[in-house]
Amino acid sequence: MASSTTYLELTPRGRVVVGLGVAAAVAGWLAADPHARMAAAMLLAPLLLDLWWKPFRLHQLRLQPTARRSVVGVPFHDELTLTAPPGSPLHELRLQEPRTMRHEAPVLVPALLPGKPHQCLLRGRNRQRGHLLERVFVLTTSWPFGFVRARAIVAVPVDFVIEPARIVLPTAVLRALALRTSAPIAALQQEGTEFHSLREYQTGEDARLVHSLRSASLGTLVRRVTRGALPRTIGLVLDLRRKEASWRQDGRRRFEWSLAAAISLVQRCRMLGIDVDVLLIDAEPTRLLVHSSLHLEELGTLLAEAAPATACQLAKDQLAHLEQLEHCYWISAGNMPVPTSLGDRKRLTLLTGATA
Amino acid sequence: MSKARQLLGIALLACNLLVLVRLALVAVPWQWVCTFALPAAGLAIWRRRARPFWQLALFVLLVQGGSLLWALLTAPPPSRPAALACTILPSLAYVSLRRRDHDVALGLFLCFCVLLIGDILGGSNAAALVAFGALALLILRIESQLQALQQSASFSSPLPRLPLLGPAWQLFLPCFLLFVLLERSLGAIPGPHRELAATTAEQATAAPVAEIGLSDSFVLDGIGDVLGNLRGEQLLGARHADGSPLPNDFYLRSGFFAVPGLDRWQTGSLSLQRVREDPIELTAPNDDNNVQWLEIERYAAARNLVLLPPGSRLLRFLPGLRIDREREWLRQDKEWLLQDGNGTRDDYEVGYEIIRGMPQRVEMSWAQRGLLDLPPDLDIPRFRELLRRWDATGSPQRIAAQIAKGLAGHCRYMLHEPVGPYQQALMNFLFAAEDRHGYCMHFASAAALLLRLSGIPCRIGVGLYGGQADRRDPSLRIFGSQHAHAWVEIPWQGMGFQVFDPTPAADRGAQPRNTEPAAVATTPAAAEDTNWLDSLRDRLAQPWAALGLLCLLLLSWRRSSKPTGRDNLVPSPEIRSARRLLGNLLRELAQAGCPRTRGQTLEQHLQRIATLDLPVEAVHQAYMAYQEVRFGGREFDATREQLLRTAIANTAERRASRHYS
Repeated sequence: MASSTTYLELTPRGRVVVGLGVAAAVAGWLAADPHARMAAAMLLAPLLLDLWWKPFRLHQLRLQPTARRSVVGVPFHDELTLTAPPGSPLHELRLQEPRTMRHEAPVLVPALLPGKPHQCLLRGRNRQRGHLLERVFVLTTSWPFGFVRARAIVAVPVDFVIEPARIVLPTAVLRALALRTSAPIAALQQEGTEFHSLREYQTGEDARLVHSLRSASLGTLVRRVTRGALPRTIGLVLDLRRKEASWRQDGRRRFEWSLAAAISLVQRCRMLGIDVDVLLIDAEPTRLLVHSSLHLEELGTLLAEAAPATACQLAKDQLAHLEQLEHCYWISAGNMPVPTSLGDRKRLTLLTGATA
Repeated sequence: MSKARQLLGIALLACNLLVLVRLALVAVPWQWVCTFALPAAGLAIWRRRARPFWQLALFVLLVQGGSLLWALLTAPPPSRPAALACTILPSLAYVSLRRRDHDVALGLFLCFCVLLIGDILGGSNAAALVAFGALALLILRIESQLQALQQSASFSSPLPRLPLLGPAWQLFLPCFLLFVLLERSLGAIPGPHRELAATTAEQATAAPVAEIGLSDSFVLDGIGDVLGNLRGEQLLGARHADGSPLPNDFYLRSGFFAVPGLDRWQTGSLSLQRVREDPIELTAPNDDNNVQWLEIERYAAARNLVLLPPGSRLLRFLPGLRIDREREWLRQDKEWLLQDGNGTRDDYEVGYEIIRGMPQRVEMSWAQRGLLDLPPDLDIPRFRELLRRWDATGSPQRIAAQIAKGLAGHCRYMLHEPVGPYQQALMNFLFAAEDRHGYCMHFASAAALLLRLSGIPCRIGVGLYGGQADRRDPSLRIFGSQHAHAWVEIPWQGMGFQVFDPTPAADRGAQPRNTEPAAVATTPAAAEDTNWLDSLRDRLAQPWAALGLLCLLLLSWRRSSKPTGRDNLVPSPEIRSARRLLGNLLRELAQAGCPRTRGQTLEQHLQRIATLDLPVEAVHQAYMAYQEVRFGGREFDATREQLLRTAIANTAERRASRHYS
């Protein structure tokens, strides 16, 4: 855990004043000149006062960020509660989180009374996924005269999950899910949303699919056939294993893309009402059925913490559940090939970085 | 923010005006100040719009040239220091009005320089310093606030209103106190040239005419050592030769001043004789039976002084003198003393005549010798009004008594300079509307002028009064600088100059404490008798005490707090271990030809490693392990430690293999 500290440093103006003041003091001492002494006193008095007013315990300022999650690349607003330590009030405090506010100006807090909470709004953006257990804030103040700057680094314990970025998946990826419902209704399928054609209604089908106008005009019952009927549950395998080879730069890029594609796909499926059975092949494979927003969050946390794993053999029945699924996506985040033991490849869609 | 900028501009302009006016008042004719400042100011304002270069050059040529010509025709040429001071004025004016980012700080600094020049050339002025200090603090405060606003983002509109100054006492008064403390402390530090400067100053002022200033401590003599420059509890000891105790109100005169002034008195002309014999008869005593012998022993710091009681007639054990017998003025002849074989004695004896009975008549011959002179700028009607109000009429004794009584009722004794609307301290002492106060110098000067106005010749005598009885030897009285005093001396027929002291009796012998460093005169016997409280007071008055107090104040204002768990600045042992291993790894990588440069993150370093023939995978694992410990709060367990060690080993092995291949 990073330790909180307060530093004092002279600003460029302060350095000039110190230099001139010391030079004047030395000249006054050597020559016993009262004017030089007076000049030294005039230069050094405000600097000493500036130093005296600096908060030496700035790092004791309490910061309470709200619990939140973030997505890589997505700007967010964060509300912080600041409580000054006991003592003198803090003036003209500038607050910044270097990790998320790299291109943002610090936030100015005009005054903080000791013990009184103050709310301030930060705008930030994370550029790297991760699961942070602490957030580091930098506080600076140069009040009142700007000769000396107090800078404090405050580490706040948090549980901050930064999920992989959401990317736009190619149309073909989702279209692979769509099936023609020319066959009798299967319990594992759900109706698609895209109109395809009309056909004769058969007994036992859902009466709501009957097209009333066309049935009336034709004199017989006809029903709509939609395209894009989606299965209710699909599978997603995210293979984090990597061959033992040198780690090249594009490998890391592909890895990140794979994570982003995985969560984007799952999120898209959830929007369509599809449950996703996710298998994360890691050093310790994890399986998670995402059928609610909570599960989606859990998946996001897992992916935030994901790291390439060394190549290892899969267990024999590791992929057995995929047989029951209508469709399955395979994302090879490392460079491991799809296992040959996998059965019907027709219901398998392979997602790679080249797909993007 | 615009209001703050406006206020900043006004404050800087006010600062400029303050220092320029001050310079014009004290050192540089105002025409020259305008000549050097106004054209540059005009150029700064005119240049706010983009102008072609030839227009600017023409402007400068015409305006500056015209100003110079006008100044040459209307004002005397400035002195050399003033001309040098004028060289800074164009920069000051230009920068103050140009309105660029750093111009405020630069303009303030140039104002400070001009103020300093004004002080050097024309003397310090407290009001100007205080005013400049207040403006400078205001400017610094506004600028700091503007910087904070410019460097920050705010999602609320409008921008937060920041308090501009805060409570004034938190900023200005402490700054002023710090300034005074710093200036005093710096002055108290003994410098290498302090004695030389003092000696030079004394030699430079050596003249037959001495001055006493009403606003100074006692400056008795322009020749040789000066009582006012001595500080110490013990300057000399005096006792009667017959062992009888000295009275508590004993006067020892060191000098006198006869030429009056509202601000300064001067000794006047002297008829000096060189006297080498010992003993010396100063004047013939009226009655030898009334002569009392006084033994005076001078301590270290007073070795060059000669103090005599009024009515001194005989002197022994004090050869090598320059004497004005009539005026009862004498000094030791230093040139004679410095000749080979001549030394000084610490002690001498003086026979003074005890005057019995009241003095009868004033020796009016002194009226022709300047003891009735009055200052040319004396407001005689007002002084006469005082005499009338106090009923100072009748015999000289009655007049003197009425003047003393009137002064005691009209003014208050206080060890501070008189304050009031008048330029002269004496006028403030006598005619201020409220709180007329002063000390012995003012009482003596006022009484002397009033006596002279009443037709009584007199002069001001200065020296030591009262003393303090020595504890071990009650017959000995010790005189120190704290007993310095001023009184009036009236020449009586047959008696010589006798003391008339207008200072209220209870306040005699006290004088303003001087903050100059003390030269303590001690004797072995006196050192043992030093009161511990007085000793402590002397020690606290030492220069280092002031400096130490300042340092203590500054340190004590740093509020120290006990380290809490959160405040512990020492990293945990786990992080230290991880950091140590990381350091070893980086060292190995550097030796392998891939050093981590300053500011380079571990990720960037890894990318560079990937381009070289180094075990990038192991290093990557090691970096990840370290970061998990350092930033991720994970334990530095055996697995992570092994990753780091593996990376170190692999790197060393790769380096070795490259070396041998």
